[in-house]
Amino acid sequence: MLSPALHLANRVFGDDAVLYERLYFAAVVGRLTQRTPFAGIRRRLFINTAATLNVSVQVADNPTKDRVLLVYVEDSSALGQRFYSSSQVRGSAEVVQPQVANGDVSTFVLKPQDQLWVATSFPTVLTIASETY
Amino acid sequence: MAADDAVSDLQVRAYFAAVIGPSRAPFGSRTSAVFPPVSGTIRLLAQNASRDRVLAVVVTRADTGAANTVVFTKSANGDASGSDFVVTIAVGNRFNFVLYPGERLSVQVINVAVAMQLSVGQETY
Repeated sequence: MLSPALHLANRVFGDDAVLYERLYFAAVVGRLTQRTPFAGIRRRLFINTAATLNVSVQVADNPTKDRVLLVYVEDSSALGQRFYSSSQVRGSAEVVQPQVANGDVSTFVLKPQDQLWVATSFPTVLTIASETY
Repeated sequence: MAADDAVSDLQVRAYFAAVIGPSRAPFGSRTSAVFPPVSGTIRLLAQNASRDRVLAVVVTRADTGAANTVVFTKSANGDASGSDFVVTIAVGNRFNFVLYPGERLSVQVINVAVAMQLSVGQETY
């Protein structure tokens, strides 16, 4: 029996229907953030940098050919902004997370071959969790 | 009539775009728009030139300045319209839109405190 999401995806996305069904489920679960403490692979990322130095670090990548990666990034830093982008090359078109409070969680859904990078000029502590859909 | 016939294919695409789009902020086609600290400045952020696709648009603030008041509108020239969506946009705020074929999204700054840069991510569904 088809899931409702796949049933609808089949109507419009053709061969990519399964991918969009996975994106749909990952996005919904990620938005609810109720998997944050449990999500599969967990690691802690420490970025120590001087205030005048911008550093870009890879947060996650999705090397699969047909799976979707749900990524939770929990920010436990004391101050500063985080600039999230899809590559190491920092441009003007990035997603900024403002000065954060402990426990702020950002969620991202990565298609196959996507990468997620973060840039910061402040000492940063991120806890990263990811699950494959 | 089957239950799923109640919605068009375009609406199905909009449904997926609305659910998935906000989680895809750093990805897709990306551009930016710079605004000087001059009230009234208007910029076209996104346009859905397709005939049968839906465009998911994520707008975020890409600088680190103070909050500004802006108007999201479908009008390209700043004319007031019933579609105006007035918001205060600060660093870290994120606004998501789903555009049907032929629709355009512009933003006009009002009550500008500081220069501002918006980043725009777009993906087609």
